[in-house]
Amino acid sequence: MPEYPATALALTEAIRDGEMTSEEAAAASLAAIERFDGRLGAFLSVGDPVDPPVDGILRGLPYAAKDNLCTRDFPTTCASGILADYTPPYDATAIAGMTRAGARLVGKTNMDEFAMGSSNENSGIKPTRNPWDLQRVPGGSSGGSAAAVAAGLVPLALGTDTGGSIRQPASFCGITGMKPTYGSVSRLGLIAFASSLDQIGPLGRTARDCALAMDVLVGRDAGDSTSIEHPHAGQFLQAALEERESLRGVRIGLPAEYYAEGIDPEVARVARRAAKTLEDLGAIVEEISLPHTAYALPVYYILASAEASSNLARFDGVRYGLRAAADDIDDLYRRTRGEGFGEEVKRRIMLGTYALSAGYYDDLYVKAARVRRVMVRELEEAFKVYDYLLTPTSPTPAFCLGERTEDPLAMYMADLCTIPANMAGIPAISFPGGFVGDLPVGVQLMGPRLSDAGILATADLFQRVTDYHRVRPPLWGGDTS
Amino acid sequence: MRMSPEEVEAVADLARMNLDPGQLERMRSDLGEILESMKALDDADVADVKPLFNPAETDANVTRRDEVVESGIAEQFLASAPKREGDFVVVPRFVGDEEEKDA
Amino acid sequence: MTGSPEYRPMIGLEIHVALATRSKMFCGCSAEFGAPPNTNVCPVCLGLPGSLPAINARALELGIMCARAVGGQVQARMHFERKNYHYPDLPKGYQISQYAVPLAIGGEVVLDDVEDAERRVRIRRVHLEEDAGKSTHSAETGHTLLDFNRCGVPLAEIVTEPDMRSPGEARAFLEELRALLRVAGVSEVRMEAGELRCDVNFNLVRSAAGDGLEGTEISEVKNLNSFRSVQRALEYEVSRHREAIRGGEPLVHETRHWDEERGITYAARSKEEAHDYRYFPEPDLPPISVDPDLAQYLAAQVPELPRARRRRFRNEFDLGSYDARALVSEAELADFFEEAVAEGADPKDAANWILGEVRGHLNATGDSLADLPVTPRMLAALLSLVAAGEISGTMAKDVWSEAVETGRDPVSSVEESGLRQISDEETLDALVEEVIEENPDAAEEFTAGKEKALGFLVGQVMKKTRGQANPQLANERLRKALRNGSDHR
Ligand SMILES: [Mg+2]
Ligand SMILES: [Zn+2]
Repeated sequence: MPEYPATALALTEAIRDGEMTSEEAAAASLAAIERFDGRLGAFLSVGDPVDPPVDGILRGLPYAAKDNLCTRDFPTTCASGILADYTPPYDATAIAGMTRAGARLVGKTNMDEFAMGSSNENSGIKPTRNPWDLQRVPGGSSGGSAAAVAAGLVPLALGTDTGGSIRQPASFCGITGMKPTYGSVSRLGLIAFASSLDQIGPLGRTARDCALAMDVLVGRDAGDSTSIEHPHAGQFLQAALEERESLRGVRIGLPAEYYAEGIDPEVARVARRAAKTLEDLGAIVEEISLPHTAYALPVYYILASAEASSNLARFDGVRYGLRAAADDIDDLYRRTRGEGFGEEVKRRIMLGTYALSAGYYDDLYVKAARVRRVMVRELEEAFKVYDYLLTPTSPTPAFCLGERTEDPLAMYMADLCTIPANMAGIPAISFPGGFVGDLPVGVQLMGPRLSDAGILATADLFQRVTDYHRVRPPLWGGDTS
Repeated sequence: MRMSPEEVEAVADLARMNLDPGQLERMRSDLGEILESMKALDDADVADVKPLFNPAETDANVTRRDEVVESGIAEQFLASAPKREGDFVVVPRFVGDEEEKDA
Repeated sequence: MTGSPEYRPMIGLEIHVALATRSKMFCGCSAEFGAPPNTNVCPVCLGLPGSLPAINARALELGIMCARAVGGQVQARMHFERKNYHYPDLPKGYQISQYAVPLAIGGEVVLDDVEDAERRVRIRRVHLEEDAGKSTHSAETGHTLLDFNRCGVPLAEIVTEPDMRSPGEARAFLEELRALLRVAGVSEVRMEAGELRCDVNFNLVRSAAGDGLEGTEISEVKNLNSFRSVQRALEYEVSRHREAIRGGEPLVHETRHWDEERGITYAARSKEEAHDYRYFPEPDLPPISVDPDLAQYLAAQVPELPRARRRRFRNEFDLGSYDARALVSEAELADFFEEAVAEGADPKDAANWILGEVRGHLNATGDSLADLPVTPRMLAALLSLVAAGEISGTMAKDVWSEAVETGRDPVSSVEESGLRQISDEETLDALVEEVIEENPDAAEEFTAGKEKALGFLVGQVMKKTRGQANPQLANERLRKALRNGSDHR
């Protein structure tokens, strides 16, 4: 089986230097998928790249994309029965950007249906397993992307993050995942879950790989009216690679609420140890308090579900995707949606419809939006004093399959630490911070709007002095498949 | 906060989504629990706070020029529609009538 | 309370007008009417997964001009919202519209001569939204065919207060509104292309105790697409509500449809579930701040509105109110008129000519004024010849017709063909003498008091000159000659 370098950066350099061809890289990736994905379940569709790579900064790089990103050459299903076999007539802006940079899509990754979930168990197709322990979940909703990168099936993958869906699986799978500032990456072609929270981002082994991908992904797109001109577009890798020995003068806050009750003490310990590492690099680390964090879950579930209930109204069996047999149009809607959507998607549509309906709109939806502003203000205040906030990414390491499927609220807890960044539209990264037992645990670094480059550079500095990101999951079953 | 079966049904109706009796009951209990947990918001004193609906709150007016751009996807769209008749997408008859919609 | 005469209609309208943009409201598809089904479509207006809207700047501008045309206050900061409901030709399951903060609030349209009085119809709001697609019902298959071409066409929705008091007044309002929108350049308002559609809210009311009103339950008649249907539907509702009062049977607040063929309205068949549109701010579109300079600039782009122009035509040109209304209702005719007057035409002559000859030709051929090769200057010159008595009205019409066909300058035609009228007294007197000599009987009959005989003699003069004699002058000279002659005899 052909091997390729572990990181996207090394691989693109190898191709550029002629040590490897782009065909060999794609073949290596496809061979690894062929060999391992039967047990992993990270991919929903796989295919040989047809076109030769374009000559760009990612030339020849095989990568995978979450199945909620529209692709002309692969079905795009959101892991939902309602979109079974659907192939969009256009590429998402992010996908088109990757192609233009020379990257080659080898497959679409499994996810929680419509990105609703934190374990990939809500996939309407199949669950994905954690490469560190096949009995455990990879996290979600970008669980397929995270597992694929962690297992070495692709060096880089795209995910989407609405409440932690890049960072939490990155944490569970021992890799690095970045949610950019809201608006940095065009959402055009991302099948919306919650429009005001969704953001596309990279998952890779290192902060540098994420920075490399950010150089391709970030940019204003006229097709997405919420997309912005990012001051550091195209300079993320350069910022990460800059020679820096220390974090002298950098102030990092540890919000007490992210280390409190509800957080596995072992996980909190990993995050504190990471803080110590940053302190050793010269950062000023202080405990702070962000009391409104307590509202994060309810606010998020109201707002995200409200937007989702509207975003998913278009899946009605009329124009594309599944159409259930029915005698009249009303029946067609009800059956198609009843049969096509899974349990969790229905739960959120119900919750969101309820929150927007007459009589509850002010008390639920508008109230949540007011609290959202208070939470955002609180974060903005914190960023007047601190450059970054460091927290655990998820309250626990990867949990076992089936462990939380019966209890939606327990499942929602998995996003406790990641939701605030989406509410505020600020950038946040999760990178490997250590282990609890044999399981990797990520730590999260958040910064103010547009501090993406700083976050990537800080995570990179951490990775220059630590080895957690280099540890690879034990490949199950040795060399036999 | 409990929801009555009728309330759950009314919401499913608004969402145009069939739920079988088992699902309906599970939904009732799950939504009840979730809404109960939302009570945490009750003590947030935010009556005077302006709601924040989108972090992209901006004064930059984002508009596009009035120019025609052909998408070229018409045939692919029709070809992949669940049911097609000539150049039309076909659905079963309406319960109401054409004028029902509130354009 | 039996059919009490003190009840009067109370009518409010919601009008959807298609804005005159090239592309759709939120995507680059052509907004042109009449394309083959499902050709002006793209991921955005089909609501394909992953697609996102982007606001058409021109639609916003035209919306602002529309709001100004009806006197509305354009809001400095506005946003779009989603109106959620399921309908097969509404691809996203929601319509992007405006709700809490519309484009404009307030305004009024004044109707100047409704039953000889001035009537004011207040405007509640104007907002922007996207149109839905088109459903056609196939009777033989029982299926519904969907065409998404119209989906996403930009609309301004204009909502009035219930200020109209008769079906005729509602129609007058719509006609005035159409003229306003055309003049403002907001929409061509082609009814056949569905560019104006109207919902009416109707009930009968009368004064009640205190300052209040009591009345019948409101009927909402949806989706009327001609002024005639609006008027007829309202007339039908007036009698339906009156009969209900007379019969003492209660009405219910309901949505009704208009059956053009049978001339009746009927209740919507769908179950009367309360609509719950779950409006919320469209997260895919940031709010819009209307730059005051832009609003001012656009307001200045709105030309003189019909009412002011009619008033000016009456005062400045001394036109009657019928002529003023008729000219102003077609902006291109009014412009042609003003230019002709500026070129020296007599206003009344020009108005008559334009409303007669020009409008008649346009109506007969379906051409627009811009298609014709004639100019206001040509008309002014021609009318001066008529006024100076150089040619007759009949001659003028002939050369004008030729000009309309060929673009040939009517004045040159007159000169080249020697059609110029004989208005020279000496030449005419010689002819008059000849005619009297050749027709002594008729001459005698006239002198004996038979007025009619003069007509015959004038005819003879015209005949001799192949129509070129100025008939009025010929008449005069004949009279003089005959009177003199009888004196001599
Ligand atoms: Mg409307
Ligand atoms: Zn379109």
